[in-house]
Amino acid sequence: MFYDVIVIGAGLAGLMAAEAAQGQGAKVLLLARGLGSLPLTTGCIDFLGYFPKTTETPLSAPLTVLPRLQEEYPHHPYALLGQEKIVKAGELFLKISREIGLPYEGSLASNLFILTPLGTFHPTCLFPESMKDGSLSDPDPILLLGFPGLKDFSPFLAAGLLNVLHSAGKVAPFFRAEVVPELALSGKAINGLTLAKAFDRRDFRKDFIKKVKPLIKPGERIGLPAVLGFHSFREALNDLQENLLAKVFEVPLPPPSIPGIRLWQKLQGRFRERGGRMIIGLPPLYPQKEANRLSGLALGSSGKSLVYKASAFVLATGKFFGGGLDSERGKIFETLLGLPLKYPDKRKEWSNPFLLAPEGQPFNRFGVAVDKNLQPIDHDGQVVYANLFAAGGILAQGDSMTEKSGGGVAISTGYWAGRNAAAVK
Amino acid sequence: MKTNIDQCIKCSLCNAYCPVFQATGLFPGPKLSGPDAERFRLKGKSLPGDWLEYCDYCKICSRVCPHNVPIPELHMRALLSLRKKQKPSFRNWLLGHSYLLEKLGRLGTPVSNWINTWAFFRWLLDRGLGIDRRVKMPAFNSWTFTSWFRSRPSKTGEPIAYFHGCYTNYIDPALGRDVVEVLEKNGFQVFLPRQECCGLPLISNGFFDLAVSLAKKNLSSLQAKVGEGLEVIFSSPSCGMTLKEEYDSLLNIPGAALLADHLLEISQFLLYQHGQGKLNARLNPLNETLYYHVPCHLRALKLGLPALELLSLIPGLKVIELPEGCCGLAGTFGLKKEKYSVAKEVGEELFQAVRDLKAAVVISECEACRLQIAQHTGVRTLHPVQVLRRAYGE
Repeated sequence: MFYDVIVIGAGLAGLMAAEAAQGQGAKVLLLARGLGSLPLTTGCIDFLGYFPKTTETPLSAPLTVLPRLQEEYPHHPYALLGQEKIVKAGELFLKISREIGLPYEGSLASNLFILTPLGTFHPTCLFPESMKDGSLSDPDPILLLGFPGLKDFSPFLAAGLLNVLHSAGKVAPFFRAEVVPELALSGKAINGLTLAKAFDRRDFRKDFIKKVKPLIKPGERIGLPAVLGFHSFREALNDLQENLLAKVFEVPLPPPSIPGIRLWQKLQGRFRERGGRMIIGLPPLYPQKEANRLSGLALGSSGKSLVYKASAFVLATGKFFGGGLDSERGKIFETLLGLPLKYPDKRKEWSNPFLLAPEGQPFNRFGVAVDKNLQPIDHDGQVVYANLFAAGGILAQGDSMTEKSGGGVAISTGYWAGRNAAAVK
Repeated sequence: MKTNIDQCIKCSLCNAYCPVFQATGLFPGPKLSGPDAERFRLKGKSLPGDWLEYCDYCKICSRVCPHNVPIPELHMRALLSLRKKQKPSFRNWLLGHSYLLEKLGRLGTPVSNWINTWAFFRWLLDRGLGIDRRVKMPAFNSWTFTSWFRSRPSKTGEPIAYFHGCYTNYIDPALGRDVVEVLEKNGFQVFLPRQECCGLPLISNGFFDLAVSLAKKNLSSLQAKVGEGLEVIFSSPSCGMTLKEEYDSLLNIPGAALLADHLLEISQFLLYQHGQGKLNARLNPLNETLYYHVPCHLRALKLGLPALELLSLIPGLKVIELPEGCCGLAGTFGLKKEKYSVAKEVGEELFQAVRDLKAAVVISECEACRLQIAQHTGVRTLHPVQVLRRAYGE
């Protein structure tokens, strides 16, 4: 059970690390507790929506603020990597997205503003083609269509709140809302997944188009909840655009997010097709060490447990949600290896009593400190394990919640951590 | 077990991956029927329970839950306490006591097999009892695994115990024979401890007390063997899961938790032997491509995928994993008339993949998965250890 690289974590960072290591010819094993965090994301890659610790003005050109970020936050993952490496990772993600049949668009030089079900805007950077016609900077009017029984999307709520923003000059288009008349799902529950699978079927789409066409006014773009197909999503989108004679775009919904799941399915499929092995649903792993290197991860504490061994390891276990970090009354700790963490001694400095404070919550910046090669370091700046790398949410200093930087940190640190790990012999 | 429902943050990942939730509107999804409904149950409020039966106990929900909310256990406990008040139907009694049916069926072969394929009889079962007529019932064998085992001379070697389970004994004794022969070729002498049905069909059909009494018998028999220094091997992940986990967490049998460390799945055990350099490596090449379906209950055991690693030792053999997912049969679940189509819908992506890949043979550790996949695709099915047996040759 010997591998070149073992990646721990099946979120976007872990998947990118695995992809990068495979690209260097490594034999890769990916271990995960659950199924990764992609179903919880919009499916878009947020690179940098707001400058750290400020949520006043969203950024329209994230790359231009990178030098200032590097100066003011030298330990931020973006500062450690530098512009060249970040841009390369972004380009690679776009290339991979085309190869897996789920093409993404956009560039790290500018942000796209998409609308949310709660009737506000969200700055994102790289997006699937199904979301490209939903830009809030484009003045063409938008019709939001809801489905009867789909609890996560009320087009009237979204349209109402967005029109308030429109009158304040914050978004360009004007919004209308309608609900699609009754749709038959043959006894299945109405939720994102069942709807997405229904949109895979031509007969369902034909019936849908017939019911929706009379609701559309000329010149409108149509915003639908992001359920437009599960396996045949490209076909479904084209079918709708051609027959409704209008631009159609998807609005990302709360989890389970279909665009997130599509990306997950494609990325893990690509990983497996290229010979990678993925084992999910694992119990806590027991690390085995030899001097200053990690030698393996055991599945249990008994002597008869299976041990997975590798030359190098990438830790991509996320923060508190993913389980990479955990807390007790007096301390915060990294759950797999007990890596040294830096955080305020006083517990009340771990959080801000204002939940949505613009500077963000301090605990969202906790994590493992790394050097420029993405290797975890201790408080003296020394690398802890010679063959260990880290990527994604587990890293300290990046606050994906307020900065809207989760996807960007994941793909850039994931890619380079995987590449560096594959170089270890 | 502490019910940990406060850990639920309503992320809906369980709903995203629950195969039954996607297949039918009759099940409200693990989030609602588990931690949400538990708040009502804890206050003693009565809840309608027919939707609880639609949980097929695949345990995918707890695997994807980021906060370890024990949703399948919440379901099972709720179902068991519901069944204490309502008497289960005769149909459920029959299916729960499948070990008895298998005993009788075997005694009555070949007549019992003829009757099972007789259309009129199956129509009666379907209309009268609600056992779906479309299910191809497995044939009862005229010989049982235990009768075969007792009739042959025992080999000498390092002693090891085998928990074979009812299905292997009455319906698929060839599997039991293959397990024994593989262990013997590795220098072991196999012992069969006195064993009853592990009890899973009884638990899922609501027969808590009988499951407990059989469990106690199994536990004392297995503890005796462990006390003599033997490890216990199992080949059915559902039996293994019941022995290792359900006995402790659901049935609260004292002493069950200590036994868990000595219960080993066959591929897990052989792979361990390999790691110690003790595996008989005289494997003949098998130049074929097999497709592997991972049973839900094997994933629930959290052992990784030892069969894949083990079979990679056979030269020339290619094993490809099928897309992950539940096959749908879930033991007695898919045999029931009202659940047959749900079970088929649950497994449909898997069956379609088998057809698209033009698979000739599908391997899987679980007998229910083998039954369900064969039923809906017609392919030949085997347990991974049977492939290893073939590679060992004579």
